[in-house]
Amino acid sequence: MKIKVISRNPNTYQRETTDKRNKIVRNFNTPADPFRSQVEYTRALNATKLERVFAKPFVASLDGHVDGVQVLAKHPNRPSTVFSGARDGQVKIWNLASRECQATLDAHRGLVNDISIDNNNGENFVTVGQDNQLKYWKIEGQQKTPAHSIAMDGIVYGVSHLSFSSDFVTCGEDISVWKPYRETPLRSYNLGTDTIHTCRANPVEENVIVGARSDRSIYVLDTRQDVPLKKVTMKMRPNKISWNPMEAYNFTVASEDYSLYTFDMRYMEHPVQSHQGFTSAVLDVDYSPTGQEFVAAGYDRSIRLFKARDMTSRDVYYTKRMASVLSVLWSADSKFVLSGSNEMNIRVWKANAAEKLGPLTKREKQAFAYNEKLRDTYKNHPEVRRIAKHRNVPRHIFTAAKEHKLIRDARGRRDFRRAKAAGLDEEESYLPQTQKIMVGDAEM
Amino acid sequence: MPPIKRSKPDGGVKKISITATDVTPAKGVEEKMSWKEYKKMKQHTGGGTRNKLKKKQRPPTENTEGRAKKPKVLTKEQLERHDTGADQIDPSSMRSKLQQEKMKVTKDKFQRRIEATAKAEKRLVENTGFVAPDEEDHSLTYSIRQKDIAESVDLAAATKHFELKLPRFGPYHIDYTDNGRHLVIGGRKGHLAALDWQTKHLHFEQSVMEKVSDVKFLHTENFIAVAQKNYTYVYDNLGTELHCLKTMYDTARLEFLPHHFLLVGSSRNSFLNYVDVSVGKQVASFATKSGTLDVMCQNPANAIIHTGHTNGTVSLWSPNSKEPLVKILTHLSAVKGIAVDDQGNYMATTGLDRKCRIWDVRMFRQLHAYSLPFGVSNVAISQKMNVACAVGNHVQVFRGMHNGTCKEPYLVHNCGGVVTDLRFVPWEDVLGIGHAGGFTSMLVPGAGDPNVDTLRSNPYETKSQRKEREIKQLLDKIQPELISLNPDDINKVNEGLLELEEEERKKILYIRPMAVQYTPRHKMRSKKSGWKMEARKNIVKDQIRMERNMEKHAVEKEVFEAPEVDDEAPKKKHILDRLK
Repeated sequence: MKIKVISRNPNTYQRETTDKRNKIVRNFNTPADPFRSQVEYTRALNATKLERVFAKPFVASLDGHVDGVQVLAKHPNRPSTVFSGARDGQVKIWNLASRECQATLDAHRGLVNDISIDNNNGENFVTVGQDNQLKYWKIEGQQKTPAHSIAMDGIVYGVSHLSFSSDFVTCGEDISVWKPYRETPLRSYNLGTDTIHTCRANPVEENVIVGARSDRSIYVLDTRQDVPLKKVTMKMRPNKISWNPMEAYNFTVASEDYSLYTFDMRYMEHPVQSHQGFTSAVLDVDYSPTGQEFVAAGYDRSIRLFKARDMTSRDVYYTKRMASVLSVLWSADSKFVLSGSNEMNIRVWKANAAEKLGPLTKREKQAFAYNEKLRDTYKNHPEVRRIAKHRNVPRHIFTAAKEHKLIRDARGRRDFRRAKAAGLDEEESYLPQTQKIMVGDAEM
Repeated sequence: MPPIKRSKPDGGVKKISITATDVTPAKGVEEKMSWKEYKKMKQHTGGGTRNKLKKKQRPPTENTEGRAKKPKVLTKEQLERHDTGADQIDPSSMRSKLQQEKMKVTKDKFQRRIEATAKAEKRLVENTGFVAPDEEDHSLTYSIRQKDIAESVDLAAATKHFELKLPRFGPYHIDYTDNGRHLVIGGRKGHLAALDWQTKHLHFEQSVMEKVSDVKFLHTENFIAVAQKNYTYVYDNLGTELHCLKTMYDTARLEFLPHHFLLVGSSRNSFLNYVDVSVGKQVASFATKSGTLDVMCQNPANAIIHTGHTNGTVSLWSPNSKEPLVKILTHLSAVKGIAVDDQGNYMATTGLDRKCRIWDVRMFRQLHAYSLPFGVSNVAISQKMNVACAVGNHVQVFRGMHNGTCKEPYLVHNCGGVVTDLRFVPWEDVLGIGHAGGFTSMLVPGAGDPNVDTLRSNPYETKSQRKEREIKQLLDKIQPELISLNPDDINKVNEGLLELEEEERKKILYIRPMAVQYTPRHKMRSKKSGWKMEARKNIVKDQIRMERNMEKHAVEKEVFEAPEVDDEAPKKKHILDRLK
């Protein structure tokens, strides 16, 4: 007869000396922990709470401007260089890493309308102002005077460099394509009497431009052609436009009707998605370099971050003293968001409010990744969702949002009743919000 | 099921020829072995048979060009053992192409995990204990005495069988920590002692000068809950009294739920008390209205408390309900012992009707019943499903009770006093017995899981590891509200609640309309006449009535109007239709 009982060699399980690491012996044959899902849920709940505890998005304030910051622009290949233009005509070049102003240029009399940096070599930039001037600057050498300047016929409202090129387009009374150091444009498009107040060149296709006109229309233009490709009209004015840098056929429009709309350049009859949450006009929008998210500036003194295909905002940032936000920028390393507001400050925010800045240890990285996965897995549980979604907003935003909801619901009811009274089918008469905001037929 | 007959081997104790299987190397265990030495030793002692088998099962070599090492092929059984259901994931069921791709990646990850964990099997170095009779030797295993087992196993294992003779203070209640390393014993007369039972290092020993009904370790060996004459006390590992839990009054049995940090006390006045020991708050306390609760155990898989009653029922309790979740009639006489296995599949109950019954706790159905000799009281289930029953002064250990293959006891041991408490030690082949004459540590070959998962529970835990575990355990503390019969409920849609809400909504139809109560606020500034006031009241009342009616109509429409079956889609009117 043989008898054996468990007799372990402790050396397999214990460290030899106290300065060595504890040994870990695994046995994957043991049955799964029956409380695994509950423990994971508890961890997910704690991770969600911690995320809200650590959500302190404000990083720094870049002060130096003496008037509202009208425009912000990022350098195409230097992530830490940012340009800002104020309402008094001053342009400042900032270093984000040191948070210092590197240069101050008295560029224009009156507003700086737009700034755009050369996409080809990144050594020059163009500013346009309310003083009918287009100025051509060199970044190197700290020059106080422009390398070249052109007096324009009318006010120029926007400037944007074509992708991979030193050429740029301006918009105002018409749209013109320029080469650097030339007194006259290469080509001009006269689109009618209305002012074109913004234009943006596509970041991938060299010849495609999108712009918005003061008759509330958006048009897409190919610089190789004589006439615009497409034109659609919205019910309210589109303020600013930003291309999605990764899916460069999509662009997002910041609209006067408190919303943003993402259009697909190929199917422009109506937007593919509306983005809501603001309680006042949206003044500026900028995409993250990842193309997954964008940030928008609101006249209601807040900025909101959206996922590119989500209707509601992922986060909302505000401070007590921040006035209405005129310009906004997502930094080139996709970690930060900048906002220039009417009370002369440029604020730097974290793109992920709860993110820990600075170098992380391997264990920290693993822990953050694990927590994020947990939050994602359990995001639909009511308690987790409640905590993750809750944002404390200023009273004026809270009350306005409530009021707007009432109005929206009332309009919905009104439309429904009208359709019913007209004998229309419920499904037939229903128009999604993305279609309601468009006017008439699109010119294709 | 035929009752088990205890047939004594002929001629009293039969002489057994025993050859020991000692896996400790001849040189001793002090030095680290080289891999070659280790392999040699394993082959010598027969531990390497698995590797040999695998070599045989390897299929003919396929073309593995460009690879220096051939991948080791896992057997089907190995993969099945670790299968978590990855094959059932169907990526094509996802709606969008992106999600399909994502799901494919997930499925792949799960499959790789299965392979990886199956491969890790070869790292399991320990083997299960056993008693293997020789082929010509027909002696019965239960005729083997503890002394013989202790003599035939290696020295280290032999020290695990010991007796503490304390006849003046008994009967004893005992408890082990979750990692099975520490032992606390509490005698009825007030004797209390805690020790590391493997090294025999005594933490403390003292007399509490009061009756001790039960002892229980909390999450670490540093906290011991003791049910005394009036109240329940908490002591530390030096015997210092830390707390007196006056809410746990006249407690008969104690249980500790380690995931929830709940100490559960069943009182002789039928109360069940739940105390959260991490914050010191009473979570629940209610009368079960079923007499003295002196038989209690927990289901380690879902933290439900099982109590046995004198009328033969077993009730299942959670802190969230004052009524039992389930009531099972287990015996036709008083229930004397309950035990639930680690996976929460089987429950063993013993009663005064001399039966030991095995239940499926998920179906609440009896699987097997065994007749035992008279004097049955406690019962315990080990990690490898060995069942120990206290029969008077004896302890009988059975194997295969859960699958009905049990014909006779596996081992029998006479303690010399009435047995009051039985606990199997996790990760060891040891059964701790508290009895009237003291404490006995009994060797039961094949009772415990030989391979430890030290991330789950570590018998070789150091102080720093214990501290870290304590913090992690506290961070992962599950809220008592989540205790339910199935802990996986949290990952499912609560269909019951949805239906309940729907039912509540339908009730609007059958409730008599309530009288509308409205008294207008007394306003000083406008002195209106009586009828005006009345008119104003009526307007508001009408409004409230209308709202209620609207709600009712909406529900009526939903319930009584069958959804339209539109076989044909409504045709759109064509411009030429008017000419038809």
